[in-house]
Amino acid sequence: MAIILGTVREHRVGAAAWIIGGAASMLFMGLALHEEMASFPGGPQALAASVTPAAEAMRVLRWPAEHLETLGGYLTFHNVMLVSGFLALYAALQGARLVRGPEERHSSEDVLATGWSRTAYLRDRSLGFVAVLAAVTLGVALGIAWAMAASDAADLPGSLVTMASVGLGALVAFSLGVLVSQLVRTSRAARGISALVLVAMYLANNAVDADDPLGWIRYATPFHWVNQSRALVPGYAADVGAMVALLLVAIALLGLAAVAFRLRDYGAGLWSRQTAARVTPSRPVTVQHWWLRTAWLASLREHRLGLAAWIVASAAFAALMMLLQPAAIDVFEQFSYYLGMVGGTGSTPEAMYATFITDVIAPIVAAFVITQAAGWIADLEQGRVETLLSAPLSWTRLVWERLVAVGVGVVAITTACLAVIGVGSLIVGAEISVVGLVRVGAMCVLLAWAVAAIATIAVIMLRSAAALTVVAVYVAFAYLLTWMIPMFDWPTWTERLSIFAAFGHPYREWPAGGSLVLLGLLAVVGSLIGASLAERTPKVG
Amino acid sequence: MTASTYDTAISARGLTKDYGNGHGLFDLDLDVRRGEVFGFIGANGAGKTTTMRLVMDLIRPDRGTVSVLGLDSRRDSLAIKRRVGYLPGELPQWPGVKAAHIIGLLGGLRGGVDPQRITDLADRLQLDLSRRYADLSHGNKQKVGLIAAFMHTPELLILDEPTLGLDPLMQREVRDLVAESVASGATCLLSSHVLAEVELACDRIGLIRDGRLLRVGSLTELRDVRVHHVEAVLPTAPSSGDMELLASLDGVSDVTLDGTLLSCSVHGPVTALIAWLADHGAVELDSREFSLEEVFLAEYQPAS
Repeated sequence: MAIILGTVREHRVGAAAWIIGGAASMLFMGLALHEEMASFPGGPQALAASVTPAAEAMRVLRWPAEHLETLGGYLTFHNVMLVSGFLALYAALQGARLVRGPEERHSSEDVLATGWSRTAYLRDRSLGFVAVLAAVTLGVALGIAWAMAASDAADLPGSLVTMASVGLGALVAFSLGVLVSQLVRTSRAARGISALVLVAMYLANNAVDADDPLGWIRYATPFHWVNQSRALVPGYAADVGAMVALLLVAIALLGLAAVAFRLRDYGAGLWSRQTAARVTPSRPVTVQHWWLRTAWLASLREHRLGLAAWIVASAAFAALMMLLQPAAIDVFEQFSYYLGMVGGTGSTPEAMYATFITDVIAPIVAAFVITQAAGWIADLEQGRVETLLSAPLSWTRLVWERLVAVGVGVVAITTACLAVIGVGSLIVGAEISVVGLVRVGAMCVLLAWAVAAIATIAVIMLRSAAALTVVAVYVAFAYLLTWMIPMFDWPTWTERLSIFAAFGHPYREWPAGGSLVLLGLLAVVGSLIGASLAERTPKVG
Repeated sequence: MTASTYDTAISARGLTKDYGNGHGLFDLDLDVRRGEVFGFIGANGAGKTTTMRLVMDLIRPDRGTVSVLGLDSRRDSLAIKRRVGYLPGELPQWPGVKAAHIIGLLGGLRGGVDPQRITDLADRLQLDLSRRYADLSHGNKQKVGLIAAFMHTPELLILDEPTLGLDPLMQREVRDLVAESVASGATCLLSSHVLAEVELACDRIGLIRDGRLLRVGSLTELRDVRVHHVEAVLPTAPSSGDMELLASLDGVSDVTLDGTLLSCSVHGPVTALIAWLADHGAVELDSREFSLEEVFLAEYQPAS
């Protein structure tokens, strides 16, 4: 029981974020869709007809799109399918580190040394995560039910069935992550492989039709079976067979993982050999390099693979959005909601679409900054700060060097996205404003700097994961505001609460002077305050 | 600059860091002389690591001052760290990099160090720098920290539990490294739980308990206060009056008699006890000096 509760406790922040974020997104999207359906010329049928071509063009992101004239159908297509993909990805990543993570931190040796068997350890850790997954599933289901009820389409059973199926799909993904982690060398490798497999399955399930030559692929993905119980869509209900199949597959994968755990060496995967300890140096090692002369260069070098993944993923997203432009562009003329999001009318549909996709770079770089702040917390908690500060390096200097490293990362991600958008516009034959892209680049750097300064202060003041929670919650809230303000026609003063509102729509125009000053002050003064606080606060303990 | 500033590598006055509930460091007055190896001994949580972190300006005192190599620990922190080699008490976690990366980074932040010195240290400590740090054993991770502390031939070494996790041969190697550094003019402040090792490595020792420095002295000074445990076999059991006389002798305590086997402890000179035993015709005599460890443990006995 202690292991189960410990696992639940370990995931409590993530679970809370999923429940709050998932339920809120369902509620707000449901309310927005309800309003859009009511106000759309021609009513829900016309709305569904206008959306379907774009949905088909973007089917690789989510599919199938059925009964879009109903709130249940639209919400399932628009939100539930994405939640299904992301929750599965989250569960797979947690599965990959469930056993191997504590093993790599040497925190499970004590438990196993007490006579607790490996199988029992894996079972209890898995049960702990299953409890977390159940809570997330229930929380999001209640969010859907709330959205449906608030839109005069109450369907609690449908909401529960839909999310139960999504939860079972995530359970399969989690079990896959656990199994892969038992086979490969490190939990990091397991996370990478599990994520790749899951994303490939998700995209394949959306892209392939049942009657295609490769249609059988769909049956090999959990998402196909999850979709069988899309009970919010008219004509569908709980598919007990599919749900049981998902459960059995998850149990089978966990069983295989338990067998692999019993067979392998502690600290190594079943398919990987442990490196034998060499007593004497076997070959001369060049220790000192130019990139290790400064903390920021060393940090970039150390995390180069992570940064490369950010660049590739962001650029791929930008490429996908750009390639979808011909099919999706009409949406911006027809939906008042999207118009509100890109700052209203007054420009061509092409410019509005470019504004929309370049605005999305802002939350991407903000999320990147938050992951870097998570690294700063880990540096502190895992003793790296103490080690670094044993060299002639001040805490203040380290703070500045971290900001430089984050800045380089942000510039790289932003540049990659903008370059891809530029090239993509040539491919699809869309007009693009180079000046607009430059404005976007400049504003992304300024926004990221401001978020980094806020994160710096939070990390220095709180010196724990709580700092990260504070910053992440604010950034998520601030971004949600930019969606909700046009959605609900909230008064303009509410924009002042959001750092993303200050970011504005730089592809179209520079933000107002006040917004620029605000972001500039947050960036410069925040950094100075962070550096000043660093000088006055403990570096360890 | 006063003469004492030249003589002391570390000088703490009234140094206090209060973590609440009696935890922390309180009113520490300490001088570590240049060219000596000073051993800091204390149980877990006694305040050894707190002291070292205060000296390194990693944490800030509530009151009191520390000067290191004649410089102010706070104001001149960077200048001090250029001349100090520090081994933290807790091994860092450093996923995804090789041992060479950590050494290279710490050397790079120092503006570069002699690569031959790094190679020599790695050879002496038998560490393969090309291995991933996360894959290293506890002892090998400790060696990475030791190389980082010694690689720039610092004037002052501050080593928190330097031999923790090392095998006896490597412990001796570390003692040799410390001795060589000191022979070259360096000073060393080290902490340890292994008292036998402190006896081998240190010129002076400070005993700390509950954040307060109890005693400082050279090994010779501490030996003066040591206690001998004496056992003697007598031809016949002495009378109660003789036993009272024995117990009243200066420095004698813990007198017990088991048949004709007499046991007692002697603090200081043993002349009076030897005379008493001779008077009673002792036929066998065994005397054993309490080790520093036993002295240490005696200091840590509960007050009751």
